[in-house]
Amino acid sequence: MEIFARCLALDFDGTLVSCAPRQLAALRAALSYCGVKPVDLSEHWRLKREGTATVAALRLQGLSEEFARAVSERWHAEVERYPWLSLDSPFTGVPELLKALIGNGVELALVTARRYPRLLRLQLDQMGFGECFTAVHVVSPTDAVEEKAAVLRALAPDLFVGDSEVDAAATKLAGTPFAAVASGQRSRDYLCAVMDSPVFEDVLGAVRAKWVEDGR
Amino acid sequence: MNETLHSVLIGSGGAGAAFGAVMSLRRHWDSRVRVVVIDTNPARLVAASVLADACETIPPFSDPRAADAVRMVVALYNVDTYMPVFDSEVVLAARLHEEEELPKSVRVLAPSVASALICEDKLATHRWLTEQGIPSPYTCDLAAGAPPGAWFLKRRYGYGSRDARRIVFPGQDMLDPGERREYIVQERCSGPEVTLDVFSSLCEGLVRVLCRERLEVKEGVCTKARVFEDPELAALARKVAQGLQLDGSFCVQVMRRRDEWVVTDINARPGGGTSMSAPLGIDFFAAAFAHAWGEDPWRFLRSLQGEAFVVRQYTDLVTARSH
Repeated sequence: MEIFARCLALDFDGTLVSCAPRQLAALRAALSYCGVKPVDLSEHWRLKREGTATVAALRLQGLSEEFARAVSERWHAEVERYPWLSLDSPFTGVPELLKALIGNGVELALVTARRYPRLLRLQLDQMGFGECFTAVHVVSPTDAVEEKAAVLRALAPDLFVGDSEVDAAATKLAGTPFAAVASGQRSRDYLCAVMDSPVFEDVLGAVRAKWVEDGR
Repeated sequence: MNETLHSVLIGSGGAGAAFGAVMSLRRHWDSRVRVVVIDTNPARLVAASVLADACETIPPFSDPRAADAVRMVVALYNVDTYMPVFDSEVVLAARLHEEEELPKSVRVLAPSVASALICEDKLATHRWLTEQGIPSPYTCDLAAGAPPGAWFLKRRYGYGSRDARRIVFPGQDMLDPGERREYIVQERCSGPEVTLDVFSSLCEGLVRVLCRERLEVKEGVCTKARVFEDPELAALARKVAQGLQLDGSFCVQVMRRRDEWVVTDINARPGGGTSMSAPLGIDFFAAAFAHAWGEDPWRFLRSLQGEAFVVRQYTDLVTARSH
């Protein structure tokens, strides 16, 4: 298989690795920490995938504003730390895909928003992804759109693959071609509703489509 | 996301192995499985309760009421998969399964009662290993009188190295005749002490073995490990799996006697340190569940090139809070 891309930029959470197990486990822990009865986690994740913010999703499940805010605050403090990070696992086929891309001379850059860059690098090493990326750019979650856009402008990749409207906004700002994946933070319906970019089931689909399109 | 695929009961929820099992379920099946843990302690003292959908307190497995409690929890939560994680619980689970005390639809991740009894009893384990021609340190019943000499003392039905120590017999065992019945003595072996985490698929005739050298042990559980693969040790584990018909994930403990490996213990279940290989993409808990559910277990058992070092650190979880 021939690959026509020169440089591919990828988001991490929800694009290359799972994000639901960690987010929901950290939510269980946050609810327990705050002494709040468990909520319906499937419903919570459905709401989040439809674009609902954490506090609003908890309010919809009957939590008071005070408790919803307390749980959300705790969740934010916990969700990017161990032991919850150990719940992330690469999506099926992702290690093989990265290997194939590198083997075909494609430069891979990771562009992701995380609070703790060191923990991300540790995860990459543990998953065997440490050597896969020629560049790893970790931006602040609070300014993710602007910071991702700045990184993408400098990298000028052929494509950026990500799982959220934040990724879409950053590529729009940077003028980078974008492919959205519905394997992570947002559902296909939500992504289709809020952006014009193509939406794929997962990163494998997005990259395959790129090959076919460019190889035509 | 909304569909509950399985309702899983994890025994001895307070044990490290139970936490590893629940983490594995959440990592790979997330909220698609309902997780119920049981323990002798209330939920507020069980770490795994934070990640579980329910946590029930039951009597100790030595209590005759434990069997009824397990049956009740299975019925209450419509459990379809039961992973016992404590040796006497493995025997109980095997018994409940064989005697059809649990619904036939429940997959019990335990071997036959006969195999579970062999693994629970260190003297029986030694006798079985000897019969099979698998090297094992000489082991004898302390109450029946051990030959004088330097020994390693262990509880006959012990776990997690509880009360295990080096002694010279007679004179240093410090046990009264009544207590001696609970102990065995084993020929002293030398290091390294290695746990073999094993996944066995009897229907495919395949095993996957990961060796975990126990560089540091706290409360009987490995906390610092060198992880590697070794064909000789894999062959040893395969013999154990086939001989005892162990299907799924379990542990074999080995040490050195002069120039050979000897099996010092067999646990017919994953151990407290089994989850240490999960960060390397080798998840024996997930493989066991996948195998039980007819999914592909091998995708959770990535190959390991060379060796890796894994150390464990505690985490702090708030399990309950009142307002």
